[in-house]
Amino acid sequence: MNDNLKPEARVPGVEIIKRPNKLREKVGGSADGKPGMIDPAALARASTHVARMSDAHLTQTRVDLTELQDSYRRAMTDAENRPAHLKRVIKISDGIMTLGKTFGYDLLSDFANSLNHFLVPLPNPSVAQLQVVGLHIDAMHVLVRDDIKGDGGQIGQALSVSLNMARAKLGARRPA
Amino acid sequence: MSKPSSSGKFYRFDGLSILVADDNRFVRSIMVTILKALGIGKVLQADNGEEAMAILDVSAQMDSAAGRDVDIIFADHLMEPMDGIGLLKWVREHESDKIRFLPVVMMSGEADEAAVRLARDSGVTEYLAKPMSVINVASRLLAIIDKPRAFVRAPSYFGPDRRRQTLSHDGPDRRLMSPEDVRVVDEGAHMVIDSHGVSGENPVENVDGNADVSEVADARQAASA
Repeated sequence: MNDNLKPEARVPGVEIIKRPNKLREKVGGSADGKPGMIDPAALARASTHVARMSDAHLTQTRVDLTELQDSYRRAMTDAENRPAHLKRVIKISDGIMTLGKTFGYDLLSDFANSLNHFLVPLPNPSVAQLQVVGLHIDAMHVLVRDDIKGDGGQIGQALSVSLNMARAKLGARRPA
Repeated sequence: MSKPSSSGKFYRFDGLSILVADDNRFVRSIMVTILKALGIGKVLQADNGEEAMAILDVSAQMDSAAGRDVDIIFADHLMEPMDGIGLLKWVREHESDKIRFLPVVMMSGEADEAAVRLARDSGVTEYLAKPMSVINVASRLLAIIDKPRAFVRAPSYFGPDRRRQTLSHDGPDRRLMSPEDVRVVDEGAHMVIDSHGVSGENPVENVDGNADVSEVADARQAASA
């Protein structure tokens, strides 16, 4: 305890509330308190079920990309409501990022993630900066159109290098 | 510290009820697929934070014996109109113990340090950095079940203890509180919390009298949080 503090600087009390672990009881945890496990068969079943949704994922991603392109276009043309349109861009991109890696489209997730990391710190992006956003969307279109999974091989690497350069040139740390 | 060995028992999740709040319908459907395949008995869905609040309010009014309580919340960080942080704050400020002590898992692709800190300081239980995967979801479930943390009520915080480990500290003592400021409430499920009820004669008050020396030491450390 720091004795140099004046009494009036003392803050009010703290409570530590310990509650019974009802969840553990509910899932049949052992009485000895040792942690239990999830049935590997259930994990395998879940993975299989998710994998079966891959066709639906591609369909969904195409829809998302169309919406993303549309929101981006609005952001470019409707300067008055640009923040709202860009918020939508970030939201859709976050969805694409979430699902890409789940279905093996690692690079798609990476591009969506890079787009958001580029855009989020920019309160009022310039047209040039918005064009960098457009480049990311174009690259994502290519990945989906050509069904490029994983790291994308040579095409993926070339796209990544181009986007990295664009972000480095016009990112938030440099004046627009 | 040695890792506790497993009991070797498989958990049965069919008695659990989980609320998934995400405004992306496809993400939600994946979450539901994963949770159902893992054997979760009931998965409720909300399109945003406001819908989640409505479901939780109903859950708070239900008789627990009816088995309709929500046990765990998975919430997206970037939902609209109310986002995951707004929902989390609402949960932690809820008048019902059934709601405010609920484990909340924040799901986000924006898992940078600032986002995780914001969720932590708003009272999150676990953070699930997207992308979504079966292992990610399963590991958060196990963490909630096997490693629950005590709740801390401090002047500017209510939620699970933010410290997941105790680190040694060689520098000067900068703690703002003394042991007199800390009360340990054991089995606090039905306690009315009175943050001014700490007496000088009873430095670390333990409501059911079962606190051992290590708990008091923990409490003292918590006073510095």
